[in-house]
Amino acid sequence: MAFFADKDYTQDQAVLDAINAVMQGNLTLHWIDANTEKVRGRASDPRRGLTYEDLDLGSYGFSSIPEFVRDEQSMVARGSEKWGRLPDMGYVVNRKSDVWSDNVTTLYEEAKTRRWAPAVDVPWAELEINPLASDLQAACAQLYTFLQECALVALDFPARWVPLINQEFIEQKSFMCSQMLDGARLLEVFRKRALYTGAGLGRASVTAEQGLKEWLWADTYPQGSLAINILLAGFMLAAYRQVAAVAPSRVDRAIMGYAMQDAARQVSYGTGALRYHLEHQPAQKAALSGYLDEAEHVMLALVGSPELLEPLIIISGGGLEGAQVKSGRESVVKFIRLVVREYLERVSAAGLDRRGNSRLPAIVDRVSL
Amino acid sequence: MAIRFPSTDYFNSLKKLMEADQARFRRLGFIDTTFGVSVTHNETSRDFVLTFEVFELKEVREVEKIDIAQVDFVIAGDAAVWRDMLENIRRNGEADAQHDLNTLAHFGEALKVSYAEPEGHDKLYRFMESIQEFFDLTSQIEVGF
Repeated sequence: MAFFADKDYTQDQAVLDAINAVMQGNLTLHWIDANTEKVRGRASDPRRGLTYEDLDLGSYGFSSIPEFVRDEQSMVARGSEKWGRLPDMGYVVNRKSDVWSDNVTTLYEEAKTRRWAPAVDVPWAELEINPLASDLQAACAQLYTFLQECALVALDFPARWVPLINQEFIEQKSFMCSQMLDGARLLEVFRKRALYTGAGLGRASVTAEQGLKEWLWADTYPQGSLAINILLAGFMLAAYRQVAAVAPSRVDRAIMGYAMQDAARQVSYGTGALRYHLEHQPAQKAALSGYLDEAEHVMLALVGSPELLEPLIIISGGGLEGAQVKSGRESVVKFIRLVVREYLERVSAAGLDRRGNSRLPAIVDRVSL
Repeated sequence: MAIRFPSTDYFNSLKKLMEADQARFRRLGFIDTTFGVSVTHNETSRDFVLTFEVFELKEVREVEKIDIAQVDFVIAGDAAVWRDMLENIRRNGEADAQHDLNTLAHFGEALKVSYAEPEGHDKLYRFMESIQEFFDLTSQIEVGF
């Protein structure tokens, strides 16, 4: 698939003549009187600096984006004057309530200020000063292999949709780019952690990957957002909290501390987007509930994956001895129930009460020691 | 002189230290949340509401009872658990993995986190690094219980 501009500009004498005219000092200045609003953006809080919220002004503001974007299909910057034959970008997501969340500008600014760098913000040398027992080291290598698969999908989802979302939603698209950076950074830190100690990577998870692909390729953005930004991100947030709570090293604790803030932003967006979607499109409640009837099973593919479950038990219990495995199993059962409970809380708070419909609570209740 | 925990004096001492160590908190990023801290001793609770804004603790006040609808989340626990955490911070300069807020609150067994809205709860994790480092400032003061 390719797009060709309306002409070959090297063959357009008018363009070449215009360049020469300007270079000879004959400026047209036709843009200087652009028919646009003249506003002045100022930081409302100097500590915070100039934010997107400060620029929510008149025709430039995100508050003025209509629910249905009918006549903006080019890459024109919102609020600028349109003239001439601008290309149609073929955006397929043009309805604000299909993507928007009221917290998206806040989360975008927050994502940038709460940035971190795996190369320098993780005390890697601790792994050499206080090396882990081989059982724990192997479990960590497997866990971080699994987490890379999840982080990759968290990166791929916004990447899949950003070019398809209307350019009017600038702040939304920018936030999704920050999600990609978060996903890339988590992929990086999990990979570095797995490879630092010489244990190498572990084994890929067939069940997790089959399920993650199903979520990633959901038909619509609202469905995919529900799957990736609530189900997957909620699961990952709980997993990071679990590993942080039983962290076998300062390195693992530091990684999980940073990872949980990135995942928490993702679920905050996901919950906000679902709420906004259902407030503006209440008829979608039944459709999304139907989608979840089909898609929730993936949660079991993730939590039930032996490539996650077993290393998580070993790390949670502190090793492979009988008592450690028993303690690990007790902890991981609580973790699984926590994942499902918090998922149901989030969708319910957003307007989609699944507590009577979801098969997950009954299934996880049957998980016994 | 030791500053008693829990008290507004204790939180205000940390507030001043936070303001004095802006580089540390700026590196962690914005923290925008209002949450409650509830400390129970002999079945009586002392409740506080802390409001963080940008890089600072904007306000702390003791209240009779925390209105859960007015805060993002409440961290509640027995005075002995809080004391354990703060003494651990005093010994190590920061909470170790067994005594940090995430671990103590993870399954609600030592500290309990309650909330009206899941998005409020998620803010605990969005800002966990800053909140923990705020409590870790306890290493720089004398605390009495």
